[in-house]
Amino acid sequence: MKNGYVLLVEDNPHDVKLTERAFRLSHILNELKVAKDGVEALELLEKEEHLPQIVLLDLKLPRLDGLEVLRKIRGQERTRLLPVIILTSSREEQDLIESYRLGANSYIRKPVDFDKFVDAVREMGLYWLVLNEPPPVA
Amino acid sequence: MKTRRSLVVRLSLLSAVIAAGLLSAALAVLLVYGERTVIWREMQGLAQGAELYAAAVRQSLQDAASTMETLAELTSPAAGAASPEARLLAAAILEHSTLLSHLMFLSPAGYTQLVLPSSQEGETFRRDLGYASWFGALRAEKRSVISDLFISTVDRRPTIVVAAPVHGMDGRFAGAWAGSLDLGRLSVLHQLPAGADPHRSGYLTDRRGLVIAHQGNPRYVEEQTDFSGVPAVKEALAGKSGTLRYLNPVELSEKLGAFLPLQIAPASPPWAVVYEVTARYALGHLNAQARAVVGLGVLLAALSSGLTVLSLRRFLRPLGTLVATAGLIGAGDFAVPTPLRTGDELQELAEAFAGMADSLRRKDEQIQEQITELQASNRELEAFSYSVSHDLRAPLRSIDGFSKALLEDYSAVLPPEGREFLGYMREASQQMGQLIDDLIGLSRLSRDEFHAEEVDLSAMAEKAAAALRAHDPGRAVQFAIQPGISAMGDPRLLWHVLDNLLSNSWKFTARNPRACIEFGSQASAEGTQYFVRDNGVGFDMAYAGRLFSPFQRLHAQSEFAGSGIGLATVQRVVRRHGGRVWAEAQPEVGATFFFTLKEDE
Repeated sequence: MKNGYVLLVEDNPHDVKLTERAFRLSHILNELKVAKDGVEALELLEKEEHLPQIVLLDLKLPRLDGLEVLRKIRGQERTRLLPVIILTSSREEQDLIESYRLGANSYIRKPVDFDKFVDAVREMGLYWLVLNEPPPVA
Repeated sequence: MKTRRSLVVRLSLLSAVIAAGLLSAALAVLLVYGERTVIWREMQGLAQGAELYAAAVRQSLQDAASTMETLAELTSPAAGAASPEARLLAAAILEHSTLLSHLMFLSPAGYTQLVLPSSQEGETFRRDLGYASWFGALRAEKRSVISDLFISTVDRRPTIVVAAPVHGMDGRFAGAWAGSLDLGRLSVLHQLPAGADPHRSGYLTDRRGLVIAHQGNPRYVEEQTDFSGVPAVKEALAGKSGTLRYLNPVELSEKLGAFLPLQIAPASPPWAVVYEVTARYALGHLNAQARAVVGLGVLLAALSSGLTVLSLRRFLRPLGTLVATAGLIGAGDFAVPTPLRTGDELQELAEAFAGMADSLRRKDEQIQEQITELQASNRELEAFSYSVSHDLRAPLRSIDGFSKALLEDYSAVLPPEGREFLGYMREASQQMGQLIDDLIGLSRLSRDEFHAEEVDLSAMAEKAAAALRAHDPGRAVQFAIQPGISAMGDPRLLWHVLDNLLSNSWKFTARNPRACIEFGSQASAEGTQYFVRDNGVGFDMAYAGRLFSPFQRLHAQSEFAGSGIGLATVQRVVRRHGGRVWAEAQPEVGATFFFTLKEDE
């Protein structure tokens, strides 16, 4: 596995814990950095020297919501090509459409069943962190 | 919007027709009345003319008779008619008379002894007038007589003779003086100034109807024309007097005439005096009048139509305003129209209209408010659904996830019952997650847009059946899907109907080793009915009313899994298609679900 970090934008601490557990159970060793809202996520992206390998972005967030964060990421030269995976509870059509329209690379719905969630995280990690060739770092 | 049969045109035509009809009637009355009046007046004039003409004739004849009587008295029988005195007297009378053309002295036998003025033939030529009937009467009655028309032996022209007897000392008939009348002069008696009225003329006939004098045409006298066929003459000769409208067979023209008999001798047939006028001439000015009245009528009819058009236009203009306003209201513009100030029923109409528009406007505002409220509540509902789908699931994930974590990480310290309880927690949270998903799906069915198109229901049912088989390949279920069923509807929504109904059947036939599921359609009074029939466990019809409510279940969860949302979904979709859904079932025999779809869409 490549050793870039993963940025998780998630306001629910339980979900953060469950995601961390799913990463561990899936043997994903990449560092997981967490931003608790949209503003924090953008600050972190700006502050960090390196960009994360992927961003796991929840849609419903305090202060700045996920779609706004995505818009800003795509609007800045530095983060324009950054792989962003929407990881959310919503299955609303409007969210799907809007996310892809704004340039989300993938859209994953968090299942209630934790077993399925672990499966989803494992497959996502395998694909995005191992198989996928990330865009060249600027 | 253009009216094909404008009120203006129709009412104008009607008014013109009525005006023309009224005018025609008035005209007819006027003409009839006018003609009668004219004829009556004309007849009065003619009768007067006839009287005057008759009086003049009578006077002339009497004058002639008394002249002859005087001459007869002054003639001494002894001296004889040829005496110079008598001759001089006769010559003087003849010279001053305006009427007499000849004077003759006749011998008692009727021979002319003297004729004045003297003719070229001389006095030697004796004419015998003794045969004439008037001479006989002269001899018998010893008084003056007037003859009928005859041809003068002197000048070979028609004439009448006025004669008086001469008596001797002994009273013996000693001869007679006779004056021959110039009928030309008699004709012009009492004649109107020349050229004044050539259409009116008086004439005189003898008792046989032969013309003696004619004011208008002396040729009738010369030619001894027979006027006995003229009705007025006939009447007068019969002794009657009066007025008449008749055809003059001599002149072949219609006349108005007054007639009266002229008694020239007692106990003898009268002569006829007629004063007549050509009817066409007399009524001529009446025709001119009629033409004038007709012209006036046409003018009035045209005027009346014109006025009707103008006044109707004026009258209907407010209606045009109302029509325009109604159009605006129809298009959703509820600006209250300016009230009309016509002061009549139209104003009432306009006011009522304005009232209606105002109430419509208020209703529209209310509706708009309600729509706004509804939209707001819809948005809230959407936001709520969104929250539900997002926020309600997060805690479930925690419960499930951490239960799983406990089971995985602390399995060793948990007694078997604790692990069992944690398993229930996970089960419950997953079930609730499913419920939430189904509920969101159900609310989405009502919210999503509706796109109707031709849908192949048979193909859709085949697809659903194939999906069921693929999902549970271990089961042997026979599907009987009627081919070629199609309907108008939203394919995405109708899919939910067939998928849910077939899934239900699939589910409830699970215990039947010879399961059979049927999809078909049949005609009915309310249109096509579609149905899904199975030979599964069925249900008690007593609970059929609860079938279509969300989360209502007729079977235990342990018996048949499900959230109880499927039939609620079916009902919602069918209702959105303007149809209805119902079920017939018998426990342990099977169930049939029917639905209809509004067909004219």
